[in-house]
Amino acid sequence: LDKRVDQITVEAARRGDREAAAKLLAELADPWFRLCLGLLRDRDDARDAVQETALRFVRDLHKFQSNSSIMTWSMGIAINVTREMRRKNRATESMENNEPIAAMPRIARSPNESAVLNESRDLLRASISDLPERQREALLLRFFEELSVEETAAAMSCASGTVKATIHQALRALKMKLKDLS
Amino acid sequence: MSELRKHLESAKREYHSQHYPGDLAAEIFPRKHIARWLIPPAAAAAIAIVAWMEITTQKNQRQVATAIHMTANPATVPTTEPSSLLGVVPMPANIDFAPPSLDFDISTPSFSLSVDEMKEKTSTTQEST
Repeated sequence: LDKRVDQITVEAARRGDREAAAKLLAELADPWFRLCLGLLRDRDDARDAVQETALRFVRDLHKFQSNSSIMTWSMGIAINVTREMRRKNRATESMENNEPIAAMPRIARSPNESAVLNESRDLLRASISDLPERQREALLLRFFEELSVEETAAAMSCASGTVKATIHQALRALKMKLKDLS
Repeated sequence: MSELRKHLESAKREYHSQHYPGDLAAEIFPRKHIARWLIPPAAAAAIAIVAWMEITTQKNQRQVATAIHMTANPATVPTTEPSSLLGVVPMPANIDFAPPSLDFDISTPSFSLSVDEMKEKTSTTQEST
């Protein structure tokens, strides 16, 4: 993306050039959508999250410092938006069910449903979905969006060491789940 | 390649096949988008309508003025007042024809009298004169 979105466009967008900002949005829409869909697991929610990300991106573009890439910086915004949305959804679910979230099982699958998940793709998708939020964020950014450890850390607003540890935990959990399910 | 890595590669391909369903730039900058494509043709159309109305109004006004002029002056030959040519002062319009002291009533005969009565009255008037 950084090759496609040149520095001139970023600078023009930062100065308030709407055409340049629109060009950036067009380039970033797909990566944002993929990440939000991976984290929220609902297309409508992901679309809402992308629109909110875009609004914040345009609003705060003048604050962007060139010490990180525009992709990393914008992924940080998307991560924050999805975190807020999940928090809101959890609060709504908690109020509706009137039960503590921690007491709820993460995913309840019948043996029949598990049997349907014999495709490796579905198997992994289900396993990733079951991961804790932070592990899922780290995995998507590091392995699927191919950000470096430092960039992943910047997007997640944490230290590089934390990212390494989180990814290690996520991979170990995935291995265990795959072994169990297969 | 480990089993997990194979699964991750497969999931990555599926992940990258997802695309945002819409035009995000147009959704975020709707007015700019509309303005770019709608305002210039709309402005051109408005200018054309105003120009057409202006031309039509002027044409109609000219036709009405000509019609009024022709109704008011059927013969358009220029006329000249003789008095102005000769230098004669025109007579004032509000002049008194008789001095106020000479005002008197003229009795009008009553039409209710018969012919005989009228004759008698006339003779009486002559006698007294």
